[in-house]
Amino acid sequence: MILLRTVEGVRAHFPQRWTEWLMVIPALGIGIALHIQPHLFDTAPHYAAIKSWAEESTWEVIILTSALFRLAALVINGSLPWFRFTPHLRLAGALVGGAIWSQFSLGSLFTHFAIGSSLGPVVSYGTLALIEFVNVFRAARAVGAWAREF
Amino acid sequence: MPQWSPINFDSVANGLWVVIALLLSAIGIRHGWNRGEGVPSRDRPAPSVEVAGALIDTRHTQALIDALGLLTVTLTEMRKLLIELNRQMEDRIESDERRARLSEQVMESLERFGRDVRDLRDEIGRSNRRG
Repeated sequence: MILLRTVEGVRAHFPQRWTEWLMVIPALGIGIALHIQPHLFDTAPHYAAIKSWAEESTWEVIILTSALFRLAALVINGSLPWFRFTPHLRLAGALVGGAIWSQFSLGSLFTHFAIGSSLGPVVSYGTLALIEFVNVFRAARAVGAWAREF
Repeated sequence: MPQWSPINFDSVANGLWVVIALLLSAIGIRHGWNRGEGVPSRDRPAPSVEVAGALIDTRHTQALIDALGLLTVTLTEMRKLLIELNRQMEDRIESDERRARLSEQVMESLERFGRDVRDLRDEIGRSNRRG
């Protein structure tokens, strides 16, 4: 019964939450890539600044943890009557995701200015950061609606 | 970043990101407070729904539902009135029938009385002739 309700809740809200679902993919992907390739940042020059801020293992923990929390919030999605804080988890996930992709984008930009590395990652990670800004707004809107009800 | 720049672009960029994130959060929370999340639910139905590719304004649907509800109530009241009217008509018919039966009984009594009077008169006549 709860499984059906959860599936129905995910299906009903997917049109409004698809960008948040989408952002779980690169987070899980990069987290798994960092786990499989512990020296990922050594493979390309544009990671130099990012590596100077934290090692691959630290990034892996941060990225995977935020992705899994976000996935849990999207799946629960108000299906459990006793847990009413999924908007807050979604907002936290969006903020953390925005911070991660902003750092990746800024790090790639700084490395470009420092050693002339590729601008491609700046655009890619920058786009992910922009999507996360949209998710921040949507999740914050849900928090506002929650605050009004409670 | 170029060493010749006095501006710490690292801090500026991060600060800019933090400001944008906080602004979006604040605007989003305010938007949600004023207008809700915008996700349709049973308590807050969407202003329009898509049915077979066409957008239906749910306010019109709701107005139609309200009108149908009113019509149903009106029809129920009319049915009750008709039932009451039928009952009253049946009562009147029954009372008319009772009246008719009573009239019949009165007529029969009067005829019997008339016959008794005639018999008595004949008896009195016969007694006078004998006497």
